Amino acid sequence: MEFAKKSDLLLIVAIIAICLLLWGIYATNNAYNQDEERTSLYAEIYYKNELVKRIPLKTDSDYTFSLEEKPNVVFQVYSSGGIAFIESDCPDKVCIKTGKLPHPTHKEAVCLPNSLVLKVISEGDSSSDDIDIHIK
Amino acid sequence: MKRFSLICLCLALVLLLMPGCSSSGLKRYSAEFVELFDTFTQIIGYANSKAEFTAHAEEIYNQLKAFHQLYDIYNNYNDINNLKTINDNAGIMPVKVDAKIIDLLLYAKEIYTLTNEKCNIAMGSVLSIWHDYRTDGINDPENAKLPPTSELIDASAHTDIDKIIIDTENSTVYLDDPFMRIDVGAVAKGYATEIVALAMTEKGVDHMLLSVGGNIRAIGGKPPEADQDESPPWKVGIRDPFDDNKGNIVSLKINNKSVVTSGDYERYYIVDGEKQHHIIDPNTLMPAPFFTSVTIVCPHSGLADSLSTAIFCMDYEEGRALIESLEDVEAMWLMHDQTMVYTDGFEDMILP
Repeated sequence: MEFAKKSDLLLIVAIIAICLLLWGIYATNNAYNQDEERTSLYAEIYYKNELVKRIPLKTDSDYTFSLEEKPNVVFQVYSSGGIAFIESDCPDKVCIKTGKLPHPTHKEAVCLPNSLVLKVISEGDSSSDDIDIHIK
Repeated sequence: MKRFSLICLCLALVLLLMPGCSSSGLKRYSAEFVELFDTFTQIIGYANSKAEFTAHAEEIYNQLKAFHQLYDIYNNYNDINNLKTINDNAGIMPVKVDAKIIDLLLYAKEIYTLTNEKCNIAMGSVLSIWHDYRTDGINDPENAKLPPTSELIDASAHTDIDKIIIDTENSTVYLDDPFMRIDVGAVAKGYATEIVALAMTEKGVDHMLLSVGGNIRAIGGKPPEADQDESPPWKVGIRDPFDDNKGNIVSLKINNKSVVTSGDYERYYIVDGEKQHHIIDPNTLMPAPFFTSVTIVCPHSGLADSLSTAIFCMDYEEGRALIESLEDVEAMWLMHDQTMVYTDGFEDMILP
């Protein structure tokens, strides 16, 4: 008795072909989405370790804002891309001195006296060539 | 019927093979915390899902928070005896404390001997004077002053580490000098980070990087690439203190080790145009003048933390001799003229 007829073999080949095709579409689509996400940056602001604001870093003109929790701290979003602490009532001003994010060596700016962390993130994977962490 | 089962078999095979086709499941996440040890804590890790990573990050946060409260010398917390309680009872009575405090103090006594007495947790009386002058100097730069030498010398009479009386049996600590104060700033962060890293490792956690105020401890390396067994190392950048825009002065490959830098640019205030930083030499009672920074790489984060402070307070020859005498400890000295001197093992870790 034959194991499979010619028509069966054809069917198997057809199923495998369809699977490969679907997988191909899925993989391309996935890569495309990741590319999209990698280029779109978000800023997150944490107050006392809680996420209090998340905004896309895309704007047509510069603008500033403050948080309800900390009205004396002012953030600026730049149309050229990026975000920074620009005013703060803390004594050391480390947050302002950190400068605009994303920065070549850091993705976060911190104001310890005000318990604020400003973090820039992209949803995509970071490149393995990037430095993982920085010591001051 | 036979045809139907054949199709089923075929589909089952495809389904079985599908997971193998998708890319490795581990994704990279990070979490940041403030307030622990009055500094910035960052956790970077790889996990299957955000939920899994968040659970690990929260566990680390909770453990570090317990250490932070116990090792705090400035604040009281409800129902716990911490280092402040011990300090407040100096010369009065022994204080019953958590084993985490006993363990730290015993470790710090070992470190005191190992570091040629340069890392001394009994220096609180001297360090608190500097702390107050620095805080005032930052808040009111116009009137920033150096502490009077006489005040420092008087305080230094109360820094004998042997007067920290540890009773392990009853889990109590007594300061046998009413003017003595414990300050564990040079060792506690690193020690706590190490204990937490070990606890997470024991739970099977891998591929994580902890930074507690720049006190770096890697749990393993990064996840291996597909078809590879070896974990690639983390890349740790050390910022250029001479030019913030230049990026890193050096970057290191780190796998399952700790990296700590002590520098004169981290915490300081300015008196008459001169920077007065926070790392005080126990012999001169003044900010140690030898280097811009010292970086230590070794497996134990508590050792890396305390050695970076101690080596910063020694001249190069003494420090080099101490480092060479220790197993699996590497160091880099960043001189004021921007030159870098390092041990051979340190050089091997530098990324091109």
